[in-house]
Amino acid sequence: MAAAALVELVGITRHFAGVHALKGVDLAVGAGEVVALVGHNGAGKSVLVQILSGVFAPTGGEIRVAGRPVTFASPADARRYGIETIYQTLALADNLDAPANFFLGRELRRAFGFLDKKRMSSEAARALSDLNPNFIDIERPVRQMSGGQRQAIAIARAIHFDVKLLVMDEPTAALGPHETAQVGELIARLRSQGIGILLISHDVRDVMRLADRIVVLKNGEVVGEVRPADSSEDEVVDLIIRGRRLPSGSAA
Amino acid sequence: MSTRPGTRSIADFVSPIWIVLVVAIVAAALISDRFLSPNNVLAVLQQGVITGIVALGMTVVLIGGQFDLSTGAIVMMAAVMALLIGPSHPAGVAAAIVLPVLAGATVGTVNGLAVYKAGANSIVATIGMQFFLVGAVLAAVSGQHVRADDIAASFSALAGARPLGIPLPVVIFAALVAALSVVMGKTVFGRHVYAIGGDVEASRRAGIAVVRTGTATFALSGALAAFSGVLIASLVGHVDPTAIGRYEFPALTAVVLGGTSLTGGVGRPADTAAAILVIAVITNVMTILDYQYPVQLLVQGIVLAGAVAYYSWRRAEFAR
Ligand SMILES: Nc1ncnc2c1ncn2[C@@H]1O[C@H](COP(=O)(O)OP(=O)(O)OP(=O)(O)O)[C@@H](O)[C@H]1O
Ligand SMILES: [Mg+2]
Repeated sequence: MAAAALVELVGITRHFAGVHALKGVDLAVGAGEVVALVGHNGAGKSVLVQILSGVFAPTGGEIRVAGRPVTFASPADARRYGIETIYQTLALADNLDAPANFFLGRELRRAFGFLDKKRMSSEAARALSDLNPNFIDIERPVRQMSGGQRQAIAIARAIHFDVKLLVMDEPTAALGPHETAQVGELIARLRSQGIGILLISHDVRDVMRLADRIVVLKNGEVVGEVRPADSSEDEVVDLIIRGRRLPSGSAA
Repeated sequence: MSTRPGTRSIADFVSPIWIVLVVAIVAAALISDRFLSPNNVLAVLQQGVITGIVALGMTVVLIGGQFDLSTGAIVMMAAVMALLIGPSHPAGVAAAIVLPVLAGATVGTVNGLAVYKAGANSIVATIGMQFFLVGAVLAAVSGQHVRADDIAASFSALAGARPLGIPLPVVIFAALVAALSVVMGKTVFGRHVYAIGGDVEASRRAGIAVVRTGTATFALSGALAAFSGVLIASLVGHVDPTAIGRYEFPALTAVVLGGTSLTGGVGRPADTAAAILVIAVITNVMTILDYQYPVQLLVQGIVLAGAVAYYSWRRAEFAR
């Protein structure tokens, strides 16, 4: 990294009673950079995401925003620094409808703390139809919606507000091919606007296409980092599985 | 715009408890021609008010996903406090109303912090609070009857006045139902309470001040329960601290009958009020028909079981 990265993790560790989920991870994302984080199930990707978004405090290490050390006491803190997260679990309130979830914690209000329901409905409807024109009947509990529709709500609300770093934990896991392609376009567009993106995905082919850098996590440690241009799908898969590169010369 | 009424049923607009209420009223009127007499209607309304105010607070707490079982003890504490303060002159009357309500809000705040900040289970925490309060009050009054010798007319008027012929507590209850319906349905605070009850972790991740909002629901419940206690003090002018205070379960019954989900996130104050009226109508008719108390309890139990079965069935229909 040349100039100070947008957000930087230095030597991050995290233990849960007996489990060492992260064992000293360094990771930086610059403005307008798409960094992919890949790794096997249980490698520690989601824990890393949740440290970045203020859900968990790290056991050790440092988070820096624009070069300055910060601590996040809550997810609201991370949001204040422009870090928006699409969680693997989506973090939706199932009993509320799409506009309510879209504006959750950032409700549009009129005087005296009254909700501006009309404006929230129309703005949410517009943002959601940008992502998925077939998304109708948004005013019912999201519990009744499909996995893809729920994911669309989580994506739409993460980019609607003032985002500097977008953290996406498997954002396309429930999406169909068309919607997945649209998220790809979305990532390219945000990147061109100077927004940093940390993309967690199991789809190595997608990641090769979208990312500027690919960081491989295995058992809570970074075991490799490649640029798609200088690498191959096989190499990345090998890093994920074995934690090391193919012996030189044997690449297909 | 992109909404389609398609899959909605009448139950999405009018809670079934209102239909039950209409049916109950029609049936009661058919069963007894005394039911619709003005005096009896007022009696029905008044019967549910004390429990109803307690139930409104518990509804808000339960929409947030928690139980407040300390409310009965708060009713008792507030009634005793009001009489001990001695509402015998105008300044004392104000203090006898305001101080117990503040005490109730304080107790609720402690409950709320125990649950939302310290992470205590709300059933356990509020039952603990109940024991603490009952013990403290009984110790303070040595288990004796509390009566104020000289109660100012203005304090008795709190429960006894009848503006336009309607008992003041009924008017106050209606105003509380309206106010809470607005707060829960139209304000950011209400929206956050529903969100917390729906998914507390998602709410935290969305940046909602979960501790502050959740604690406020308990403070509100404490204040409302205390106000009920003040009404009792005003109504009867004396309190047997060993005999009052069993309000939390009748109130919870109304909350559940009104359709508030036991797991939080769903419910409406007005529906709790409707449930209070349903119980009052049924009890009233059985009293008119001279049914004994055990039969009344039995019927209430059947109504509650039916309601719970209905709500479980309805939610299962929409479960993913
Ligand atoms: N809240 C928690 N409490 C205890 N252990 C946890 C917690 N969250 C994660 N872990 C543990 O940390 C490790 C890493 O989990 P994590 O969810 O980060 O994996 P992941 O790389 O996101 O996997 P996947 O690809 O399946 O999403 C696992 O061993 C997991 O059991
Ligand atoms: Mg994960």
